[in-house]
Amino acid sequence: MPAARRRAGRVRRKLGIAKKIYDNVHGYIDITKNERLLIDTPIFQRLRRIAHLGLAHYVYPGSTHSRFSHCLGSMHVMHRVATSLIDEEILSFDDLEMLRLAALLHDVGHYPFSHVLEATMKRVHGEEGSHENLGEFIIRETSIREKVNATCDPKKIEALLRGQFRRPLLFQYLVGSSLDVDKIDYLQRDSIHTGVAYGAFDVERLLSCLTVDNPSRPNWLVVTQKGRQAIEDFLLGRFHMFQSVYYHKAVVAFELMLDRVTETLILKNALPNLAVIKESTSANEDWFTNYDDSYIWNILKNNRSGHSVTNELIRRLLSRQSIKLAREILSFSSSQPQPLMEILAKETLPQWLSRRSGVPEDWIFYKEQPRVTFLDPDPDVTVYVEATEGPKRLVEEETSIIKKAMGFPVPSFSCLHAE
Amino acid sequence: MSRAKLASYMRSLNMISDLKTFQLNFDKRLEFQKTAYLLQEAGADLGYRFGWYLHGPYSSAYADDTYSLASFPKEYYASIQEPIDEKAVQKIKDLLGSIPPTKTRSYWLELLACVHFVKNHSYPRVNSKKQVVDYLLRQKGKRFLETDIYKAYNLLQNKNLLE
Repeated sequence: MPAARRRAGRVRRKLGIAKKIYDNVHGYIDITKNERLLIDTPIFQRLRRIAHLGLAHYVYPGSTHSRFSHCLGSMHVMHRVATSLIDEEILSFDDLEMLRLAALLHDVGHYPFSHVLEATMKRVHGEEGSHENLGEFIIRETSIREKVNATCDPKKIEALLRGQFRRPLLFQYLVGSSLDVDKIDYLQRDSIHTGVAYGAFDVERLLSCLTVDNPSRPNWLVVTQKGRQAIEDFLLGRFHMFQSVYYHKAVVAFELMLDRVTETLILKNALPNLAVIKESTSANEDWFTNYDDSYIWNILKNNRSGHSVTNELIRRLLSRQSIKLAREILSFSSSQPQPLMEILAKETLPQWLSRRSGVPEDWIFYKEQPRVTFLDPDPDVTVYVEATEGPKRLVEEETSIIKKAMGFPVPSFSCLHAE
Repeated sequence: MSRAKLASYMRSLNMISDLKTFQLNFDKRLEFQKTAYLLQEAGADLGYRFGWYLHGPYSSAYADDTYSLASFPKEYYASIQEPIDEKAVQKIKDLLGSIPPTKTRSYWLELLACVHFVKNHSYPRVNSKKQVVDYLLRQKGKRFLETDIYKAYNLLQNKNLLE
């Protein structure tokens, strides 16, 4: 039996694996007794009823996968990365237990429809409305805390998920960087479930080619030279998944409709705002268990709002009739026709489109998409590769496809949808 | 938060012209990150989540938004009318105005942001000035002088930015 397999077996025995769950992306995922108790809580089971990709299944019918499977998958990826670093005596067994839990719980505070409702909540409440913030609340204030406590101090998990963990810095990199375990899982998972093949990459190769910058005080993961193709494929795949799935014009259209409806209903107190969510959960955590995609659908179906646009949007959401893309502005580059800039000086883009098209502004939907790029070049979150003189940023490698690709202009873009 | 709001804050701090060099210059990106962090901590409703990394507090979402804004022509900035928190802006202007003339602006901004994050947000918690200095010396001793860490701490304390 190869040494690596023997070592993996020792780690599994020490963890005390209590159950295996079969996952269509990773195969068997091992869980410990304490993790099983946590996973079996109604609050964690709730994640089965939160769509991982919001309304993407309106365009890609297979993408009905949930936050539940993604959380298990992230824990599995974390386990694989961390155990290889235990082999190199960079991480300890206690680190592994904590990192597994952090990965398992990283999305426990997701709102129904994942990032769709989160965007609404962040607009209403600012950063307080993020799913990370709600996740911290759930870990701190519900029965999840006691389950976490059986393995490690819940404050450690909260700090790690908030990005406040000071040492080693590697932990922060593992949960929030261009090569974090979340991305390694979701890219494969979304690719398999949507059927969009761009997200597929050689995960086995990538995971077997990881080390760190400084074994005594690790800050970043480093990909060995043998893993160069795997990491480049991963980064290119992620870029193409953004273009093909996450920012697909019809997906964006449905999500804009849901966003408008939920914002209106929150402001009319027909849907709970953040304070109500927290109060209701503190009073009775079963309330949060029921706060899932179906909760929102039921409110939408029973909506008696006198607001005609909201009512019509709900009708269309329920019957999958999207608003249409009227205009996509791919860039505000200096070559942009001057008239557009003159327009912007006088009115907003939705106002302009409304005036031009004759469609009332209530029926104009507008979204600024975040920049999509191949790789964030900044040292703290970028990807490093092994080099003779020490770890080097991938974007500095002369022979890297990513370095060449970074030279291409990748515009941010804004979408205007209208009836 | 909308990009227009961020742009409005950048305009108030005279950062727009620096956006031209932002993409090619790491020190400039670092200055932007740390200024945004301190501005948010001073009370501006930016809505970013900053995590702790080797170069101090960093937000990928803020980086994405700033890259987008860097591609906008200057006419765009003249058109923005988003309201901003003037008090927070003034607090940061005062802080930037108090930065010692020695070393670079990026050096001091990184140091101020690091001291602030370690004192106010990091885990495990630190309670004293000495603990902050000791940690930063251990973690970033090659980059920052001990006397400068003390100076940065005192500066933040004088501006009521530390807990």
